[in-house]
Amino acid sequence: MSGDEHAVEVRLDALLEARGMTLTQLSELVGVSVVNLSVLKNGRARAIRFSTLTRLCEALHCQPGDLLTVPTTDR
Amino acid sequence: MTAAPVRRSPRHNPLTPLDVTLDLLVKLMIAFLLFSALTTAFGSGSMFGFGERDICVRDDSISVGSGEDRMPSLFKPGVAASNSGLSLCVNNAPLSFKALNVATMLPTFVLYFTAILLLWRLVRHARRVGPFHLGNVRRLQFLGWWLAVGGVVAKSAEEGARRALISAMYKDHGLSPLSMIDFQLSLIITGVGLLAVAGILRAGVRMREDLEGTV
Repeated sequence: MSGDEHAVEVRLDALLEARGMTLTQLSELVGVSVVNLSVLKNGRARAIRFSTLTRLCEALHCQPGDLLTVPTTDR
Repeated sequence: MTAAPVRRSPRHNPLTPLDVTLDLLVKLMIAFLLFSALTTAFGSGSMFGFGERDICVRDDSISVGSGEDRMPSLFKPGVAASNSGLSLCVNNAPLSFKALNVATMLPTFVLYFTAILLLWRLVRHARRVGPFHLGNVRRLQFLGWWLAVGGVVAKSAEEGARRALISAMYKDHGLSPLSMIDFQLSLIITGVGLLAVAGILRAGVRMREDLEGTV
């Protein structure tokens, strides 16, 4: 892997479904626009602020590791 | 995303004054070119050697006599005068002489005129899409290479044409290809400087992209 490539997966979709929450409701809770949350959900974000991550984890009652994962690859 | 593109009205764009100035400069240059071309074609004007019937060139490599005893007493004691250099002229010059004469002036004009057009294109693009854009990096790089390489090519072409013209006016005069190589250091430094700025701007574009992708 080189440059800006990454393998981080954002599991926002699964967490929202598990909590029975919509993107709009989450947006209101964390103060981040629906557009930006959608960018994050679809894996198009290049970075996430600690402050955003904190608010998301508080709203979804989860840990950062529940939200962001890196799939393990067999060598 | 935190750094959403900010829409600014044209009057608040800091590039507007430069764009307007360059726009005016380009229009004036084109008007001057058209006027000169018309007076050359239909009148007695001349443009970059076009339209000149008598061709003159100065040969600085030669001096005739010391001139010490013939020099009028115009100068204060201790001032040395030299009469080195010959001004060579041909009346009703043939086409080959006219072509060489044009080649002693045209390359530098083409170099500078094209550089202004490239700068104008860069500023217009930056004004439209914002400063941190890969298109600006490419345009700036092209301008840098144009000045750095053009500073050597245009000056060498002009020096080559000048020497060829001088050579053509002598009965027996050698022409060394190495003596034709010439360059303008200030243009090369400017060109290399623009290439360095383009590299820095490229890093800025990457940072901007990262910022735009940050949630």
